[in-house]
Amino acid sequence: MNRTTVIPFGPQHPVLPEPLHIKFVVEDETVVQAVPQLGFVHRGLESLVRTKDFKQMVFVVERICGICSCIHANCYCNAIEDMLGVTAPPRAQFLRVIWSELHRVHSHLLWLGLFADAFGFESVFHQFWRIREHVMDICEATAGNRVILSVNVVGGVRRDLTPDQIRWMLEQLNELEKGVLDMSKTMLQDYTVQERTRGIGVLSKNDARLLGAAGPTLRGSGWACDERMRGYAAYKELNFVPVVEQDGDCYARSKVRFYETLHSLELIREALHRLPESELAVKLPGNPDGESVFRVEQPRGELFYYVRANGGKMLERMRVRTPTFANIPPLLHMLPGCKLPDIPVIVLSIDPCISCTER
Amino acid sequence: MYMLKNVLRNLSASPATRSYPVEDREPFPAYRGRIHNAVEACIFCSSCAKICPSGAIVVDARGGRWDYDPFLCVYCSACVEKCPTRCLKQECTHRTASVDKFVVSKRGTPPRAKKAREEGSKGQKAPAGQE
Amino acid sequence: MFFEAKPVTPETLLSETQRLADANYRFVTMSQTVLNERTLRLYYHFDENLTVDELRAGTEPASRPPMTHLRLDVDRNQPIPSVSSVYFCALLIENETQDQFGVRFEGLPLDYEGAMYLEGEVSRAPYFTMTTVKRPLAGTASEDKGGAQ
Repeated sequence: MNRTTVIPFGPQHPVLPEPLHIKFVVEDETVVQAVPQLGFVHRGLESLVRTKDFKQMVFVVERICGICSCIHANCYCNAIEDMLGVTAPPRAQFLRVIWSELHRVHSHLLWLGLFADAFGFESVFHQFWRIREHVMDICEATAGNRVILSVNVVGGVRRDLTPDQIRWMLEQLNELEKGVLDMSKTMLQDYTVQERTRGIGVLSKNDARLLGAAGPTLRGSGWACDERMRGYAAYKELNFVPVVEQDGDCYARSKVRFYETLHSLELIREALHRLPESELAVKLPGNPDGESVFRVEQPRGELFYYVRANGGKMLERMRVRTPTFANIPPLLHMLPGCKLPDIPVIVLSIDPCISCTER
Repeated sequence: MYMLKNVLRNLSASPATRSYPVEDREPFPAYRGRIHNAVEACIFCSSCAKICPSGAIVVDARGGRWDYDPFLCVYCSACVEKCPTRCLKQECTHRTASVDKFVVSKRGTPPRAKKAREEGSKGQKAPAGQE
Repeated sequence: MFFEAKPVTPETLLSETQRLADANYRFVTMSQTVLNERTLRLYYHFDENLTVDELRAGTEPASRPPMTHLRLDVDRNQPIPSVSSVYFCALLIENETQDQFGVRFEGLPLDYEGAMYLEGEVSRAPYFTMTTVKRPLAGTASEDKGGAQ
């Protein structure tokens, strides 16, 4: 018998931290079609550029995303610095990397927890969030806030790390790494976890490119595409290797994120050991003028900023393409054909950040 | 199966969380918390109001009034860094929850009036409209 | 980075995009700026992908060609050809452009008709227009709860 039913998913759903609505057309237990409906958290932050001056905008762009705020500010500052023709001093570049990677670690740990929650592994969820508290403490003790760090300014950073703090951070990072490694067998080898994630939501290599996937979704499908390879900020001086998996299913994506977490910890340690001495910020020569694009790597993928200025204090236009925005078309491609109970796992496997998407 | 060891360990260990209102963690010294204005040192230059990204500070330079809305404030500490006289200070404790909204309003003497009053006390009479 | 964009016209847009798609490019996004009352400028941003094999072969990532950009100036009253037949992922950004600038794209596989972010019953698009509401002074702001900002 061929009977289709429409099942609404979201905007409020236990696995979704943020409101996203997808209409599923299902045939028995199998999804036939998925139509998304966005717009529950649209805030119009892009148009704020015309009322706030370009230095104040740093604090606005940080609030686009609640998880990777520092990386947004990093990208924005880099785009403006390019237009002004200045570069942040080397110490600021390294500090930017440290805070960005801390954000990546806490975002990935949050995601690994949520992902475990999506397939019903509550104790793993709580364990990951417990480990994550170390990163939040580091952020709070060094930058002054847990999530919205507000450390970046155009031309450099605002806070410095003292040798005492660096020592304390290294201790915390060791604790953290121990905790993450402790979970590696559960996340990567457990029978239940593999049953729920392997072969589900497969995105082939060519589809990933044509559908414009970004970040771990793209790298999980076999493309070694990571903006950090281009060496913005201090990444060119660090020993960075992208994490790539070939399978393109939910398991591959979670594996990418798990190894990225460990690699980020490595990067932070390396950056802390090699922190150069210099001033923290440079003086800005006037107002920006012209057009500029910049890309950085967020935990969820590649973040893109387009900024247009006209020599005044306010910018003329800013456009932000966040990674989740790019990952929604691949998601719509993965969903048809899956079974109803796999929907939460697949939706979470792209790490949706809806307030990023709608800005 | 691999999680079992972890679960058993957590079961016998003490909880990872604190019993919050009773037991409070020492705040980190670098935390960005409440903002205070030592208004005697304030020169009402408005630079904090100009730099504030959320417009939480309104300064009336002539009347010597400094208004600060803690519910609009995003605690970015841009004003604290900008303050030329360092009269703005940020504590390392956060503002606690409140039942209703309010505006912190401080009154002081703007430098021009201060100068005038000093001259006035030297001369004949204090200018009207102060205090 | 400053960028150079290759100008295209609505007629050549699709063939240019197809050429890039055949050359293994990935569609990153599209940026829009209002030039004047009538004209909207669209930028199409593309990026080349790198595979693990190329990485092993020792391709220096920093020396990879930067992004490729196409520039298209369109009349806001004319329908714009959609590139979503080449890159399906363009449909989301094209729908967003419809929402924000009140233009129309032709040939969208999934068309929200300017209501992707809005509810169905609210049909007044575009909403990328600015009206500034002056916030009342802080002294009075405490009275109207959750005042406009």
